[in-house]
Amino acid sequence: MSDYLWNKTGAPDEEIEALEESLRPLRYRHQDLELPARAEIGRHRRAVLHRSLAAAAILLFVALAGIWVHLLRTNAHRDQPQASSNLAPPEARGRREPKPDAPQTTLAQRDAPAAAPNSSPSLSRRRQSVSAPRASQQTRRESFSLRAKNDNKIRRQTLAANVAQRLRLQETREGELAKDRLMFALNITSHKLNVAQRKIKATTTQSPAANDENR
Amino acid sequence: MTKIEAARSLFLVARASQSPEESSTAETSPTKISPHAPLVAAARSGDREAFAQLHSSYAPMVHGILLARAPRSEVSDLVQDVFLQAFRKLHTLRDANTFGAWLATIARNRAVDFHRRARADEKLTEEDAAARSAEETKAEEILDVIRRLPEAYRETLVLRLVEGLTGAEIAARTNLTSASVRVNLHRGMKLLREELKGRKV
Repeated sequence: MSDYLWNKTGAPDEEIEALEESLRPLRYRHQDLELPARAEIGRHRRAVLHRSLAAAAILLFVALAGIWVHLLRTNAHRDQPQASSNLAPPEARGRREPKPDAPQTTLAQRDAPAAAPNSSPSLSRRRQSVSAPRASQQTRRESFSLRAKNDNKIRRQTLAANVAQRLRLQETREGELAKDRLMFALNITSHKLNVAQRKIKATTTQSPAANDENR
Repeated sequence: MTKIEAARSLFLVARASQSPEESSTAETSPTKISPHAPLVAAARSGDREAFAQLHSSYAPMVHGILLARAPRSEVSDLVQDVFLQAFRKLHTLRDANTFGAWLATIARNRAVDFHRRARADEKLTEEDAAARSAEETKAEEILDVIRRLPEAYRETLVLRLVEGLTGAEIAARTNLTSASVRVNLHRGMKLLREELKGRKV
């Protein structure tokens, strides 16, 4: 390759010179650069950007941490009653389920001890959850509906047990009454038999004397 | 002889023909310390005068790169756009020694953006054509031929033939190795001669 093409030294290449001459009108003509007055060179911008990014990152971190703690709390509260109801022995669980042999009580009396442990923490939890984000509100709604379903089921079971108990008590009462009537009837018949025997005895004792008189 | 072997032999010939002085100064690599690095550092710290000097030094390169890709009537505005963009994004440049390559990339991307915005098929109006002199028309014809060459050749040829930069200056401005610039110049010139003979321009 000729040096002229590389650095314009050495013997000039006529063809290249002609091309240069032909293309000269297209060469760059210096124009002053018009920089905008308010344009800032990167350093200051970068500093501002870094500060704002750091602030945004801190805010984001705090927000995420808050959400995380809140979710942990809500999960813990949600799991507590379920765990206690699942892991507790049947006797303990039976607090809310009436036994068939248990003495008859009213529904209000029976629900009262079961509802009492739930009432104060659950109410406070519900109050706390009012200001919670929508995502956790939905889960809370689901848990509430689940609890309501469970309560209805327990109430139905209690009612059925109560009805069965009432029926059983009525039957026993009727049986006892029938037994009393039977005993009373048996007493009457025994008394009648006694009276009849006495009459027979009395007639047999009187009949030999009468026979003797007739004789 | 395959193309790879031909390229290798050409590269070796170009390297052998290089003088020792050039090999020590013009063999540029991206990590070489640029003489404009202090200006770049000053411009980054807010010195507008330093950026104006950078503009004076690099404007022909940006002009040549854009001229190889965009219509001539738009090139002046695009040069301004490129330097404004560089001015705004100077803080993103990590290595001040690669300012030339970074600026060249901005210029190439700006040309691509220009074509993307549906102005690529812009045709010259009759008024524009009439306003041109015969010299300018001939220059446009040659430029059209150069623009049809492969990208690497056309950019180097425009910088050499239109902007009048030497091979060493092209290598220093664009952060290419001087061997690459030599090969591009040689092959591009060869192709250009063939095209011009065929067209009788």
